Amino acid sequence: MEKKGKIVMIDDNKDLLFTMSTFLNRNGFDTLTAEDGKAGLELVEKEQPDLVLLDIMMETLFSGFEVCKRLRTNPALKAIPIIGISGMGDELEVKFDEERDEEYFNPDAFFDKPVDREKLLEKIDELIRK
Amino acid sequence: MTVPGKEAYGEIPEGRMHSGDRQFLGDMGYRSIIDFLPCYVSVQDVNLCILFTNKSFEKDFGTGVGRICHEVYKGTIERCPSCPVQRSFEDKRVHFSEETTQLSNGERADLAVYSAPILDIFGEVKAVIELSGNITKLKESQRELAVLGQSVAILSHDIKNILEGLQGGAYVVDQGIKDGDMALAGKGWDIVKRNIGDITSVTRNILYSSKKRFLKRQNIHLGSLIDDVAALFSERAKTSATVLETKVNPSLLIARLDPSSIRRMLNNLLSNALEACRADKKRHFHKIMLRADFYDKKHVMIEVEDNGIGMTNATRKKIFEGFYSTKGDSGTGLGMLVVNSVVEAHGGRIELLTARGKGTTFRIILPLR
Repeated sequence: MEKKGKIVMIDDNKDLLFTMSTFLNRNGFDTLTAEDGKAGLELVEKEQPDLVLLDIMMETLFSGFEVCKRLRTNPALKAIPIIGISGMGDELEVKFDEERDEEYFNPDAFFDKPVDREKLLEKIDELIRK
Repeated sequence: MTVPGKEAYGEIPEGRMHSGDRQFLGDMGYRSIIDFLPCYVSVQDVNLCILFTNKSFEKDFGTGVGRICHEVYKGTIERCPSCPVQRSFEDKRVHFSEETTQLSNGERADLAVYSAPILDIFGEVKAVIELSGNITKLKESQRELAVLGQSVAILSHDIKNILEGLQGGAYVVDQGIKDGDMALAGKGWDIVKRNIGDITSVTRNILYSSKKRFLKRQNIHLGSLIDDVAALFSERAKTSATVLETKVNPSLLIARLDPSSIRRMLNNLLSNALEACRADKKRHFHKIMLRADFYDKKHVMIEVEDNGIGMTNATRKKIFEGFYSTKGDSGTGLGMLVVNSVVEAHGGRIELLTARGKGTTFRIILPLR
Protein backbone atom coordinates (compact mmCIF):
# COMPACT_ATOMS: atom_id res chain seq x y z
CA MET A 1 0.00 0.00 0.00
CA GLU A 2 1.29 3.41 -0.91
CA LYS A 3 1.99 5.50 2.17
CA LYS A 4 -0.23 8.53 2.63
CA GLY A 5 2.33 10.51 4.55
CA LYS A 6 4.82 10.67 7.40
CA ILE A 7 3.66 11.74 10.86
CA VAL A 8 5.81 12.57 13.88
CA MET A 9 3.99 11.93 17.16
CA ILE A 10 5.19 13.65 20.34
CA ASP A 11 3.66 12.44 23.60
CA ASP A 12 5.06 11.51 27.00
CA ASN A 13 2.50 8.73 27.35
CA LYS A 14 3.96 5.54 25.90
CA ASP A 15 0.57 3.85 25.71
CA LEU A 16 -0.89 6.63 23.62
CA LEU A 17 2.12 6.62 21.30
CA PHE A 18 1.73 2.89 20.80
CA THR A 19 -2.04 2.79 20.27
CA MET A 20 -2.15 5.87 18.07
CA SER A 21 0.78 4.80 15.91
CA THR A 22 -0.82 1.36 15.49
CA PHE A 23 -3.98 3.13 14.33
CA LEU A 24 -2.17 5.50 11.96
CA ASN A 25 0.06 2.75 10.52
CA ARG A 26 -2.99 0.67 9.73
CA ASN A 27 -4.56 3.64 8.01
CA GLY A 28 -1.65 4.13 5.66
CA PHE A 29 0.69 6.51 7.48
CA ASP A 30 4.30 6.13 8.49
CA THR A 31 4.82 7.17 12.09
CA LEU A 32 7.83 8.22 14.12
CA THR A 33 7.54 8.79 17.85
CA ALA A 34 9.24 10.89 20.51
CA GLU A 35 8.51 10.80 24.24
CA ASP A 36 9.41 14.37 25.06
CA GLY A 37 9.31 17.78 23.44
CA LYS A 38 13.04 18.18 22.93
CA ALA A 39 13.49 14.80 21.23
CA GLY A 40 10.33 15.55 19.23
CA LEU A 41 11.73 18.81 17.87
CA GLU A 42 14.95 17.06 16.84
CA LEU A 43 12.93 14.34 15.13
CA VAL A 44 10.82 16.87 13.23
CA GLU A 45 13.93 18.73 12.14
CA LYS A 46 15.59 15.54 10.92
CA GLU A 47 12.57 13.85 9.32
CA GLN A 48 10.65 16.86 7.93
CA PRO A 49 7.32 15.02 8.33
CA ASP A 50 4.04 15.85 6.61
CA LEU A 51 2.35 16.47 9.95
CA VAL A 52 3.04 16.61 13.69
CA LEU A 53 0.66 15.11 16.23
CA LEU A 54 1.44 16.84 19.49
CA ASP A 55 0.37 16.21 23.08
CA ILE A 56 -0.20 19.61 24.65
CA MET A 57 0.07 18.78 28.34
CA MET A 58 3.45 17.06 28.42
CA GLU A 59 5.29 17.29 31.70
CA THR A 60 8.70 17.30 30.06
CA LEU A 61 11.36 19.94 29.53
CA PHE A 62 9.53 21.30 26.48
CA SER A 63 5.77 21.29 26.89
CA GLY A 64 3.44 21.05 23.91
CA PHE A 65 3.11 24.85 23.98
CA GLU A 66 6.85 25.24 23.74
CA VAL A 67 7.20 22.69 20.94
CA CYS A 68 4.47 24.45 18.98
CA LYS A 69 6.14 27.82 19.45
CA ARG A 70 9.53 26.51 18.33
CA LEU A 71 8.08 24.85 15.26
CA ARG A 72 6.10 27.94 14.31
CA THR A 73 9.06 30.29 14.72
CA ASN A 74 11.49 28.13 12.76
CA PRO A 75 11.31 29.17 9.06
CA ALA A 76 12.28 25.68 7.91
CA LEU A 77 9.55 23.98 9.94
CA LYS A 78 6.73 26.48 10.29
CA ALA A 79 4.77 25.15 7.30
CA ILE A 80 4.41 21.68 8.83
CA PRO A 81 0.83 21.27 10.02
CA ILE A 82 0.37 20.52 13.73
CA ILE A 83 -2.53 18.78 15.44
CA GLY A 84 -2.69 19.30 19.20
CA ILE A 85 -4.19 16.64 21.45
CA SER A 86 -5.26 17.16 25.03
CA GLY A 87 -7.84 16.20 27.61
CA MET A 88 -8.53 19.82 28.47
CA GLY A 89 -11.10 20.37 25.74
CA ASP A 90 -12.15 23.86 24.70
CA GLU A 91 -10.65 25.44 27.80
CA LEU A 92 -7.18 24.82 26.46
CA GLU A 93 -7.70 26.77 23.27
CA VAL A 94 -8.80 29.79 25.27
CA LYS A 95 -5.77 29.53 27.51
CA PHE A 96 -3.53 29.16 24.52
CA ASP A 97 -4.83 32.38 22.95
CA GLU A 98 -4.89 34.44 26.12
CA GLU A 99 -1.49 33.49 27.44
CA ARG A 100 0.42 33.67 24.22
CA ASP A 101 -1.62 36.21 22.39
CA GLU A 102 0.12 35.17 19.20
CA GLU A 103 -1.99 33.22 16.84
CA TYR A 104 0.85 31.41 15.15
CA PHE A 105 1.64 29.46 18.32
CA ASN A 106 -1.64 27.62 17.89
CA PRO A 107 -1.76 24.20 16.28
CA ASP A 108 -3.83 23.97 13.11
CA ALA A 109 -6.38 21.81 14.88
CA PHE A 110 -7.16 20.55 18.36
CA PHE A 111 -8.51 17.16 19.32
CA ASP A 112 -9.96 16.44 22.70
CA LYS A 113 -9.50 13.03 24.35
CA PRO A 114 -10.86 10.47 23.74
CA VAL A 115 -9.88 11.30 20.18
CA ASP A 116 -12.54 10.66 17.53
CA ARG A 117 -10.43 8.50 15.21
CA GLU A 118 -12.51 9.04 12.07
CA LYS A 119 -12.48 12.82 12.44
CA LEU A 120 -8.75 12.70 13.15
CA LEU A 121 -8.13 10.85 9.87
CA GLU A 122 -10.26 13.37 7.98
CA LYS A 123 -8.38 16.28 9.52
CA ILE A 124 -4.96 14.70 8.83
CA ASP A 125 -5.94 14.14 5.18
CA GLU A 126 -7.18 17.70 4.88
CA LEU A 127 -4.06 19.26 6.44
CA ILE A 128 -1.62 17.09 4.47
CA ARG A 129 -3.38 17.90 1.19
CA LYS A 130 -3.19 21.67 1.79
CA MET B 1 -19.72 67.11 64.00
CA THR B 2 -20.86 65.76 67.34
CA VAL B 3 -21.56 62.16 68.17
CA PRO B 4 -25.30 61.58 67.74
CA GLY B 5 -27.00 61.20 71.13
CA LYS B 6 -30.23 59.41 71.95
CA GLU B 7 -32.34 62.47 71.08
CA ALA B 8 -30.94 62.40 67.55
CA TYR B 9 -32.78 59.16 66.87
CA GLY B 10 -36.16 60.61 67.83
CA GLU B 11 -39.46 58.85 68.03
CA ILE B 12 -40.75 56.17 65.70
CA PRO B 13 -43.12 57.96 63.25
CA GLU B 14 -46.78 57.02 63.48
CA GLY B 15 -48.63 55.29 60.71
CA ARG B 16 -45.85 52.88 59.75
CA MET B 17 -46.75 49.93 61.96
CA HIS B 18 -49.34 48.23 64.09
CA SER B 19 -50.18 50.35 67.14
CA GLY B 20 -49.14 47.66 69.69
CA ASP B 21 -45.79 47.20 67.97
CA ARG B 22 -45.39 50.96 67.76
CA GLN B 23 -45.76 51.21 71.50
CA PHE B 24 -43.15 48.46 72.03
CA LEU B 25 -40.67 49.84 69.50
CA GLY B 26 -41.29 53.40 70.61
CA ASP B 27 -40.20 52.39 74.07
CA MET B 28 -37.02 50.91 72.61
CA GLY B 29 -36.06 53.91 70.46
CA TYR B 30 -34.05 53.82 67.25
CA ARG B 31 -30.82 53.45 69.15
CA SER B 32 -31.82 50.05 70.49
CA ILE B 33 -32.97 48.90 67.09
CA ILE B 34 -29.62 49.86 65.62
CA ASP B 35 -27.86 48.08 68.46
CA PHE B 36 -29.81 44.88 67.77
CA LEU B 37 -29.14 44.91 64.01
CA PRO B 38 -27.22 41.73 63.11
CA CYS B 39 -24.55 43.78 61.32
CA TYR B 40 -21.85 46.27 62.23
CA VAL B 41 -22.89 49.92 62.04
CA SER B 42 -20.48 52.82 62.39
CA VAL B 43 -20.48 56.53 61.54
CA GLN B 44 -17.17 58.02 60.45
CA ASP B 45 -15.79 61.49 59.77
CA VAL B 46 -13.67 62.51 56.82
CA ASN B 47 -10.50 61.23 58.54
CA LEU B 48 -12.23 57.85 58.94
CA CYS B 49 -12.35 58.47 62.68
CA ILE B 50 -15.24 56.49 64.18
CA LEU B 51 -17.92 58.71 65.78
CA PHE B 52 -20.49 56.08 66.60
CA THR B 53 -20.82 52.28 66.68
CA ASN B 54 -23.65 49.90 67.48
CA LYS B 55 -23.54 47.09 70.03
CA SER B 56 -22.86 44.36 67.43
CA PHE B 57 -19.76 46.30 66.41
CA GLU B 58 -18.57 46.68 70.01
CA LYS B 59 -19.19 43.00 70.71
CA ASP B 60 -16.90 41.83 67.89
CA PHE B 61 -14.38 44.69 67.63
CA GLY B 62 -14.35 46.31 71.08
CA THR B 63 -14.54 50.05 71.54
CA GLY B 64 -14.38 51.83 68.20
CA VAL B 65 -15.40 55.41 68.94
CA GLY B 66 -12.48 57.80 68.67
CA ARG B 67 -10.35 55.30 66.74
CA ILE B 68 -9.57 55.10 63.01
CA CYS B 69 -11.65 52.65 60.95
CA HIS B 70 -8.82 50.64 59.37
CA GLU B 71 -6.98 50.41 62.68
CA VAL B 72 -10.03 48.78 64.26
CA TYR B 73 -11.06 46.54 61.36
CA LYS B 74 -7.64 45.59 60.04
CA GLY B 75 -5.07 46.61 62.63
CA THR B 76 -3.19 48.67 60.05
CA ILE B 77 -2.24 52.30 59.68
CA GLU B 78 -2.77 52.13 55.92
CA ARG B 79 -6.14 53.06 54.45
CA CYS B 80 -7.84 50.24 52.57
CA PRO B 81 -7.40 50.79 48.81
CA SER B 82 -11.04 49.87 48.24
CA CYS B 83 -12.39 52.06 51.12
CA PRO B 84 -16.08 52.71 50.35
CA VAL B 85 -16.37 55.40 53.08
CA GLN B 86 -13.72 57.50 51.37
CA ARG B 87 -15.58 57.20 48.07
CA SER B 88 -18.88 58.24 49.68
CA PHE B 89 -17.14 61.36 51.02
CA GLU B 90 -15.86 62.09 47.52
CA ASP B 91 -18.98 61.58 45.40
CA LYS B 92 -21.89 61.58 47.91
CA ARG B 93 -23.03 58.17 46.70
CA VAL B 94 -23.59 54.75 48.23
CA HIS B 95 -20.63 52.40 47.76
CA PHE B 96 -19.90 48.75 48.35
CA SER B 97 -16.82 46.64 48.90
CA GLU B 98 -15.89 43.24 50.25
CA GLU B 99 -13.26 43.28 52.97
CA THR B 100 -11.45 40.78 55.15
CA THR B 101 -11.03 41.65 58.79
CA GLN B 102 -9.94 40.17 62.09
CA LEU B 103 -12.40 40.10 64.98
CA SER B 104 -11.21 40.90 68.49
CA ASN B 105 -11.31 37.16 69.34
CA GLY B 106 -8.71 36.61 66.60
CA GLU B 107 -11.08 35.00 64.09
CA ARG B 108 -10.91 36.09 60.48
CA ALA B 109 -14.13 37.36 58.94
CA ASP B 110 -15.30 38.37 55.48
CA LEU B 111 -17.47 41.49 55.40
CA ALA B 112 -19.81 42.98 52.83
CA VAL B 113 -19.45 46.71 53.45
CA TYR B 114 -21.92 49.42 52.38
CA SER B 115 -21.28 53.12 52.90
CA ALA B 116 -23.77 55.98 52.58
CA PRO B 117 -23.21 59.73 53.02
CA ILE B 118 -24.95 61.72 55.76
CA LEU B 119 -25.64 65.18 54.29
CA ASP B 120 -26.14 68.46 56.15
CA ILE B 121 -28.76 71.05 55.15
CA PHE B 122 -26.39 72.44 52.52
CA GLY B 123 -26.03 69.07 50.90
CA GLU B 124 -22.44 68.62 52.10
CA VAL B 125 -21.22 65.27 53.41
CA LYS B 126 -20.84 65.65 57.17
CA ALA B 127 -20.20 62.00 57.91
CA VAL B 128 -20.55 58.59 56.32
CA ILE B 129 -22.48 55.69 57.75
CA GLU B 130 -20.93 52.29 57.22
CA LEU B 131 -22.89 49.07 57.47
CA SER B 132 -21.04 45.74 57.32
CA GLY B 133 -22.59 42.28 57.18
CA ASN B 134 -20.55 39.24 58.17
CA ILE B 135 -20.51 37.03 55.06
CA THR B 136 -17.80 34.60 56.19
CA LYS B 137 -20.05 31.53 55.81
CA LEU B 138 -21.21 32.68 52.40
CA LYS B 139 -17.61 33.19 51.26
CA GLU B 140 -16.67 29.75 52.59
CA SER B 141 -19.46 28.21 50.53
CA GLN B 142 -18.26 30.19 47.52
CA ARG B 143 -14.72 28.88 48.00
CA GLU B 144 -16.00 25.33 48.40
CA LEU B 145 -17.99 25.69 45.19
CA ALA B 146 -14.92 27.00 43.40
CA VAL B 147 -12.87 24.01 44.63
CA LEU B 148 -15.69 21.69 43.58
CA GLY B 149 -15.77 23.22 40.10
CA GLN B 150 -12.02 22.85 39.80
CA SER B 151 -12.22 19.26 41.05
CA VAL B 152 -14.86 18.32 38.52
CA ALA B 153 -12.72 19.82 35.74
CA ILE B 154 -9.66 17.82 36.82
CA LEU B 155 -11.65 14.62 37.28
CA SER B 156 -13.13 15.07 33.84
CA HIS B 157 -9.63 15.53 32.42
CA ASP B 158 -8.43 12.36 34.19
CA ILE B 159 -11.39 10.35 32.98
CA LYS B 160 -10.94 11.55 29.41
CA ASN B 161 -7.33 10.37 29.49
CA ILE B 162 -8.45 6.98 30.75
CA LEU B 163 -11.13 6.75 28.04
CA GLU B 164 -8.44 7.51 25.46
CA GLY B 165 -6.35 4.67 26.91
CA LEU B 166 -9.31 2.27 26.84
CA GLN B 167 -10.26 3.24 23.30
CA GLY B 168 -6.68 2.92 22.06
CA GLY B 169 -6.06 -0.36 23.92
CA ALA B 170 -9.30 -1.88 22.60
CA TYR B 171 -8.36 -0.90 19.05
CA VAL B 172 -5.02 -2.67 19.37
CA VAL B 173 -6.74 -5.79 20.79
CA ASP B 174 -9.16 -5.78 17.82
CA GLN B 175 -6.35 -5.46 15.32
CA GLY B 176 -4.38 -8.24 17.01
CA ILE B 177 -7.37 -10.59 16.90
CA LYS B 178 -8.12 -9.64 13.29
CA ASP B 179 -4.58 -10.50 12.22
CA GLY B 180 -4.27 -13.51 14.53
CA ASP B 181 -1.39 -11.64 16.17
CA MET B 182 -1.80 -12.59 19.81
CA ALA B 183 1.32 -10.69 20.90
CA LEU B 184 -0.23 -7.48 19.57
CA ALA B 185 -3.60 -8.30 21.16
CA GLY B 186 -1.76 -8.96 24.45
CA LYS B 187 -0.10 -5.53 24.32
CA GLY B 188 -3.46 -3.88 23.74
CA TRP B 189 -5.02 -5.90 26.56
CA ASP B 190 -2.31 -4.72 28.99
CA ILE B 191 -3.21 -1.13 28.13
CA VAL B 192 -6.90 -1.85 28.66
CA LYS B 193 -6.16 -3.46 32.06
CA ARG B 194 -4.01 -0.55 33.17
CA ASN B 195 -6.78 1.87 32.36
CA ILE B 196 -9.41 -0.26 34.09
CA GLY B 197 -7.15 -0.14 37.16
CA ASP B 198 -6.89 3.64 36.83
CA ILE B 199 -10.63 4.25 36.49
CA THR B 200 -11.28 1.93 39.45
CA SER B 201 -8.86 3.93 41.54
CA VAL B 202 -10.37 7.29 40.47
CA THR B 203 -13.89 6.04 41.27
CA ARG B 204 -12.92 4.74 44.71
CA ASN B 205 -11.22 8.02 45.51
CA ILE B 206 -14.30 9.99 44.44
CA LEU B 207 -16.40 7.83 46.75
CA TYR B 208 -13.91 8.15 49.58
CA SER B 209 -13.79 11.94 49.32
CA SER B 210 -17.51 12.42 48.82
CA LYS B 211 -18.45 12.29 52.48
CA LYS B 212 -17.11 12.90 55.95
CA ARG B 213 -15.69 9.65 57.29
CA PHE B 214 -15.13 8.44 60.78
CA LEU B 215 -12.32 5.99 61.42
CA LYS B 216 -13.22 2.45 62.38
CA ARG B 217 -10.07 1.53 64.25
CA GLN B 218 -9.38 -2.16 64.72
CA ASN B 219 -6.46 -4.21 65.93
CA ILE B 220 -4.88 -5.18 62.65
CA HIS B 221 -1.80 -7.11 61.66
CA LEU B 222 -0.09 -4.50 59.51
CA GLY B 223 2.23 -7.04 57.86
CA SER B 224 -0.70 -9.10 56.56
CA LEU B 225 -2.50 -6.01 55.32
CA ILE B 226 0.60 -4.84 53.45
CA ASP B 227 1.05 -8.30 51.91
CA ASP B 228 -2.59 -8.27 50.73
CA VAL B 229 -2.32 -4.83 49.16
CA ALA B 230 1.02 -5.71 47.56
CA ALA B 231 -0.33 -8.99 46.12
CA LEU B 232 -3.23 -7.18 44.45
CA PHE B 233 -1.03 -4.37 43.22
CA SER B 234 1.87 -6.40 41.87
CA GLU B 235 -0.28 -7.58 38.91
CA ARG B 236 -0.92 -3.97 37.97
CA ALA B 237 2.76 -3.15 38.36
CA LYS B 238 3.76 -6.00 36.05
CA THR B 239 1.84 -4.48 33.13
CA SER B 240 4.13 -1.47 33.49
CA ALA B 241 7.30 -3.55 33.77
CA THR B 242 7.76 -2.50 37.37
CA VAL B 243 8.67 -4.77 40.26
CA LEU B 244 7.00 -4.35 43.63
CA GLU B 245 8.86 -5.59 46.71
CA THR B 246 7.78 -5.50 50.34
CA LYS B 247 9.83 -5.52 53.51
CA VAL B 248 7.98 -5.66 56.82
CA ASN B 249 9.64 -5.91 60.25
CA PRO B 250 8.32 -9.26 61.59
CA SER B 251 8.18 -7.87 65.15
CA LEU B 252 5.55 -5.40 63.96
CA LEU B 253 2.45 -7.19 65.11
CA ILE B 254 -0.74 -5.40 66.03
CA ALA B 255 -1.53 -1.75 65.29
CA ARG B 256 -4.83 0.00 65.95
CA LEU B 257 -5.75 1.48 62.57
CA ASP B 258 -8.71 1.68 60.20
CA PRO B 259 -7.91 -1.10 57.70
CA SER B 260 -10.05 0.12 54.79
CA SER B 261 -8.61 3.64 55.00
CA ILE B 262 -5.06 2.30 55.21
CA ARG B 263 -5.67 0.11 52.14
CA ARG B 264 -6.99 3.14 50.22
CA MET B 265 -3.97 5.18 51.31
CA LEU B 266 -1.51 2.46 50.25
CA ASN B 267 -3.26 1.96 46.91
CA ASN B 268 -2.95 5.67 46.17
CA LEU B 269 0.70 5.83 47.18
CA LEU B 270 1.47 2.77 45.07
CA SER B 271 -0.51 4.16 42.11
CA ASN B 272 1.46 7.38 42.27
CA ALA B 273 4.72 5.45 42.53
CA LEU B 274 3.76 3.37 39.50
CA GLU B 275 2.82 6.51 37.57
CA ALA B 276 6.21 8.03 38.45
CA CYS B 277 7.92 4.87 37.12
CA ARG B 278 5.87 4.91 33.92
CA ALA B 279 6.79 8.56 33.36
CA ASP B 280 10.50 7.91 33.73
CA LYS B 281 11.98 7.23 30.31
CA LYS B 282 15.60 7.08 31.40
CA ARG B 283 15.63 3.78 33.27
CA HIS B 284 14.46 0.47 31.89
CA PHE B 285 14.23 -1.20 35.29
CA HIS B 286 11.76 0.20 37.79
CA LYS B 287 11.19 -0.90 41.33
CA ILE B 288 8.76 0.11 44.05
CA MET B 289 9.63 -0.77 47.67
CA LEU B 290 6.87 -0.95 50.26
CA ARG B 291 8.32 -1.05 53.77
CA ALA B 292 6.86 -1.08 57.26
CA ASP B 293 8.82 -0.78 60.48
CA PHE B 294 8.74 0.82 63.93
CA TYR B 295 9.43 4.54 63.81
CA ASP B 296 9.76 4.63 67.61
CA LYS B 297 8.05 2.81 70.48
CA LYS B 298 4.70 4.46 69.83
CA HIS B 299 4.71 4.90 66.05
CA VAL B 300 4.84 2.79 62.95
CA MET B 301 6.27 4.04 59.65
CA ILE B 302 5.21 2.91 56.22
CA GLU B 303 7.42 3.84 53.30
CA VAL B 304 6.68 3.73 49.59
CA GLU B 305 9.85 4.26 47.59
CA ASP B 306 10.13 4.34 43.81
CA ASN B 307 12.96 4.95 41.38
CA GLY B 308 10.69 6.81 38.97
CA ILE B 309 10.84 10.30 37.57
CA GLY B 310 10.82 12.20 40.90
CA MET B 311 9.16 15.53 41.50
CA THR B 312 10.07 19.04 40.52
CA ASN B 313 10.21 21.59 43.34
CA ALA B 314 6.91 23.07 42.19
CA THR B 315 5.18 19.69 42.29
CA ARG B 316 6.66 18.89 45.71
CA LYS B 317 5.18 22.09 47.12
CA LYS B 318 1.76 21.55 45.62
CA ILE B 319 1.38 17.81 46.03
CA PHE B 320 -0.87 17.98 49.09
CA GLU B 321 -3.14 20.70 47.76
CA GLY B 322 -6.58 19.46 46.85
CA PHE B 323 -6.92 18.25 43.32
CA TYR B 324 -3.44 19.11 42.23
CA SER B 325 -2.41 16.88 39.36
CA THR B 326 0.74 17.03 37.27
CA LYS B 327 -1.01 15.67 34.29
CA GLY B 328 -3.73 13.44 35.49
CA ASP B 329 -3.24 10.33 33.36
CA SER B 330 -4.37 8.33 36.35
CA GLY B 331 -6.00 10.75 38.69
CA THR B 332 -3.16 11.55 41.05
CA GLY B 333 -4.76 14.84 42.14
CA LEU B 334 -7.50 13.22 44.15
CA GLY B 335 -5.22 10.39 45.29
CA MET B 336 -2.92 12.57 47.37
CA LEU B 337 -5.88 14.36 48.88
CA VAL B 338 -7.17 11.00 50.11
CA VAL B 339 -3.72 10.00 51.44
CA ASN B 340 -3.53 13.25 53.33
CA SER B 341 -6.96 12.90 54.88
CA VAL B 342 -6.32 9.27 55.96
CA VAL B 343 -3.03 10.23 57.61
CA GLU B 344 -4.58 13.26 59.32
CA ALA B 345 -7.53 11.24 60.60
CA HIS B 346 -5.09 8.76 62.18
CA GLY B 347 -3.17 11.59 63.84
CA GLY B 348 -0.10 10.81 61.73
CA ARG B 349 2.17 12.76 59.44
CA ILE B 350 3.79 12.48 56.02
CA GLU B 351 7.42 12.99 55.10
CA LEU B 352 8.46 13.32 51.48
CA LEU B 353 11.87 12.83 49.96
CA THR B 354 12.11 13.36 46.23
CA ALA B 355 14.58 14.39 43.55
CA ARG B 356 13.82 14.93 39.89
CA GLY B 357 15.23 12.08 37.85
CA LYS B 358 16.03 9.94 40.90
CA GLY B 359 12.81 8.93 42.56
CA THR B 360 10.46 9.56 45.45
CA THR B 361 9.94 8.20 48.95
CA PHE B 362 6.76 8.85 50.90
CA ARG B 363 7.09 8.04 54.59
CA ILE B 364 3.87 7.81 56.58
CA ILE B 365 4.25 7.89 60.36
CA LEU B 366 1.20 6.71 62.30
CA PRO B 367 0.56 6.20 66.02
CA LEU B 368 0.36 2.47 66.87
CA ARG B 369 -2.79 3.04 68.96
